Amino acid sequence: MPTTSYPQGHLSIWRGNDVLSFIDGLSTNHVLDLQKGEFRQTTFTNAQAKVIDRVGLFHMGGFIAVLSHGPFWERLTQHITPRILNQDVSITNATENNDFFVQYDEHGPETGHFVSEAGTTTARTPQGFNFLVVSKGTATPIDSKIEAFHTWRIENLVPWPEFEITLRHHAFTCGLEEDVHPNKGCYIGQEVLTRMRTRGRMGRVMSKVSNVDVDEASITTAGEVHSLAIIRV
Amino acid sequence: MDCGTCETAGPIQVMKPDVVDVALTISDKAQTMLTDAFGEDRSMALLVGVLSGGCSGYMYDLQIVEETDQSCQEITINGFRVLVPNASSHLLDGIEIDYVDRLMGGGFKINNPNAESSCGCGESFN
Repeated sequence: MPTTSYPQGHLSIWRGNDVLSFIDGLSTNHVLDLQKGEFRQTTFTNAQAKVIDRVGLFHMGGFIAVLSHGPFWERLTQHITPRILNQDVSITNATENNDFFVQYDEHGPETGHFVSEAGTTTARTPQGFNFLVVSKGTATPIDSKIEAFHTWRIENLVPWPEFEITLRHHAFTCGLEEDVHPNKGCYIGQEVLTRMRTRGRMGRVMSKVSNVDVDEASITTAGEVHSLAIIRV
Repeated sequence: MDCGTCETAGPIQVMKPDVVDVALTISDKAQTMLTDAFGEDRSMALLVGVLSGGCSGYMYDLQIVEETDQSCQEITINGFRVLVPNASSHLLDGIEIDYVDRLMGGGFKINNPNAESSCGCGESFN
């Protein structure tokens, strides 16, 4: 099973009675019904519906473990912490205790769930790959280079932070449709995304393109023959 | 997954704005509606809070309560007790509590000079 390192992974632990309602009120997916053992991705957007970060939520029972993208962590905390106010939400950083990997092109746990075994927690995403969060010191064989994972992403139209998932793009534009719940309550950026969806006007969208057919400037993940690009359709 | 129960995992820095002494007003219409709601009983209080969420990032949270375990400022206006949580005082200084009669979207309304923008329903502000 191809496994590659994800050194930019970031893990934080969110505790408190208001954690799920807090995340639900600020991000695109419906997460209030998340149950112990489930994994769900949701996206924090700003008022223009541009992506601050896409995160994965592990419901661990007594708390929520949040897998995010390390380089986006500072802007995510700047976005969320002023909004905690007097809600019962506390956040600690557990990144240094763990290593992060991506496993792709194979099966995993049931989609939207995770399993923990011998220090390794494996979550299955709807995009067809697994996130592995591994306690430091636990051996994890890496048998794939990151370039091979990006090639797989191009073939399977899977967006990735700093490539497609950036502050320059809307959630729809960078291929995060499945994170955007169609009829949940309000959240920051919801009006923009709902307008785009109801009017059927997505502007630019992420697409797999042949390198010879596309303007190089629109390429977000470059492959040898095909690439991912955000283009107007 | 190691969930950070060891001492290396400190809490992240949470931005906590300074607590400000809140001044607020209640419109005549809102006072009439509060009289209807409270009757002669002045032991109850109107809790004016702020929650995260909504289209603009913050949502007003109005409740009629007897007491609250939140750290609050208590303001009395014409006999009405109003509680404002200290944690959201910086967002609520200078507000007017109004009441709007409408078939849709009516009810208590907050006019907030601190809000840069608010969403169409009036429940959310930034």
